[in-house]
Amino acid sequence: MKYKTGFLYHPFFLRHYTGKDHPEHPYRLKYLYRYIANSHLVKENKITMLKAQPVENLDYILLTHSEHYINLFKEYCNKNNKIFGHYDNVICKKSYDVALFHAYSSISAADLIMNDNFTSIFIAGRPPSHHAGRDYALGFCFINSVAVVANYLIKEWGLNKILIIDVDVHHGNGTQEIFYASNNVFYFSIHEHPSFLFPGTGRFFEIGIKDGLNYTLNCPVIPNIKDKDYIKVLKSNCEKILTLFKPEIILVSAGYDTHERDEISHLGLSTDCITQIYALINSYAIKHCNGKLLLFLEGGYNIDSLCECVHKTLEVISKGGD
Amino acid sequence: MFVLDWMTKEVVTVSREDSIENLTNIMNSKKINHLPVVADKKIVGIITRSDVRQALTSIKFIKTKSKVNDFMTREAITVKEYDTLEDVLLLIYDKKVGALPVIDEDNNLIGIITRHDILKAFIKIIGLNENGSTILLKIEDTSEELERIIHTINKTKCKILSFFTLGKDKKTRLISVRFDCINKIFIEDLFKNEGFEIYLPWK
Repeated sequence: MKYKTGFLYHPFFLRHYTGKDHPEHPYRLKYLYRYIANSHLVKENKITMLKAQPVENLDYILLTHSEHYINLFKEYCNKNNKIFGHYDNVICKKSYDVALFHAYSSISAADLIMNDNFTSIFIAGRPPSHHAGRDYALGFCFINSVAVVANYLIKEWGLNKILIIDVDVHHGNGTQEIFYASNNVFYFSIHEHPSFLFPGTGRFFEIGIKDGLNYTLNCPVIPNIKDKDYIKVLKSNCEKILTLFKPEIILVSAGYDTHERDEISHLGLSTDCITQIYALINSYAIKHCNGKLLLFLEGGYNIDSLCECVHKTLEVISKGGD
Repeated sequence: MFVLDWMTKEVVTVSREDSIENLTNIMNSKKINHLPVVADKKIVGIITRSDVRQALTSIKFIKTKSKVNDFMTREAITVKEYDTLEDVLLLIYDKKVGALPVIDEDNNLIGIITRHDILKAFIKIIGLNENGSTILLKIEDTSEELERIIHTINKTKCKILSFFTLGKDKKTRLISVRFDCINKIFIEDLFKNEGFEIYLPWK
């Protein structure tokens, strides 16, 4: 099988302006795009730079978010409000358009995977996704693009086994909540323990309800966990899930705020460890889902470590099964 | 904080004359373990799941029908609506009971407060039902230090979801502060810059 990796980007993602002091600022992507575009991966055609081509259809967003919430978000941006829902969620006039653009671009990336044009795509968009719930914005997230894509794949591509692996340092409360009663989506998160870190959810006993019982797995880890212990938790749990759930595609909430140089948390993983995380996830996608892997950039607020680790991620996933 | 704020007002009750055999069904369907016994709205006792279990064993043994009156605890420990949550906490802990009926001045039953209600109260008091990050500070146990903490909290401009302290030993105190924002390190740095020690037992 031929493996092909894309790196999805677009300058429009920079238009969600949050202010120079906000951790989730446009420069994260500006520098990341430059770093990847100038890397050997592009020069040697190991990855393809994909300029986002959104599939615009509000109905797809409404599979995940309520119409009331979407209209409220639009109204807040149109009125040029500075925050939405919580002072962490800084917005500007363009935020609604950019957040929707992110979700629509993610749908087009999912189509590229499902049509076998690519095996893996890294969506380098913003604002991030995984804290946004059906009816609320939280932790810099407004539209949950990961959930939008999962619901789109269920509705339009008839998938019924989607695995979401969330390796951001924060628990993805929004994604968990959206699929908490679903057995079509397995949500697995490994994150800094909720007794210490925002948002305070993702305890080991949160395991889903109704049809979704046992389709959510949370592995909180204590701050300053050793690299090898983190990998052990990730590996042993992923392998169990893959054997039992047999996913058709893997979506990843790819947060890089677990890195030792990142200023937002205490997890302190090395670049090598983060590289190993993505190498493992990629190997799972190859073994269980014909390589189908879609990665969504979530957190990662130290620009140097973000660029370095996304580059390493692309390096390992573009190797395919080698 | 008062009993009034945390008690369950819709109380399922039984009378002295009720048959013991029906109580298991009531307790299972309502998912409760304690039934106040009332006569003319006044509390006359309490019967628990373990009383019922014990009663059913005896009924089998003596083969006669028994009534609540035969197995209830007559001197139920009660509280009033303006007793404090601390009173309830200490009573439940001290007396090793699972629930306390709440009565008014005329001894009328107006509610019940259970261990579960206390846990629910503390989840809210600690702020666990709201999204946020918690930091732990280790300080010298003096009022000046607490004053400095309040001053530093003010600088964060964040909302406080909870604040509680624990005496670690004679000289040191741990302070837990829960903020409603995502950027925990920013807050920790503010405290570090003021000379505070962040309590990181794993380091």
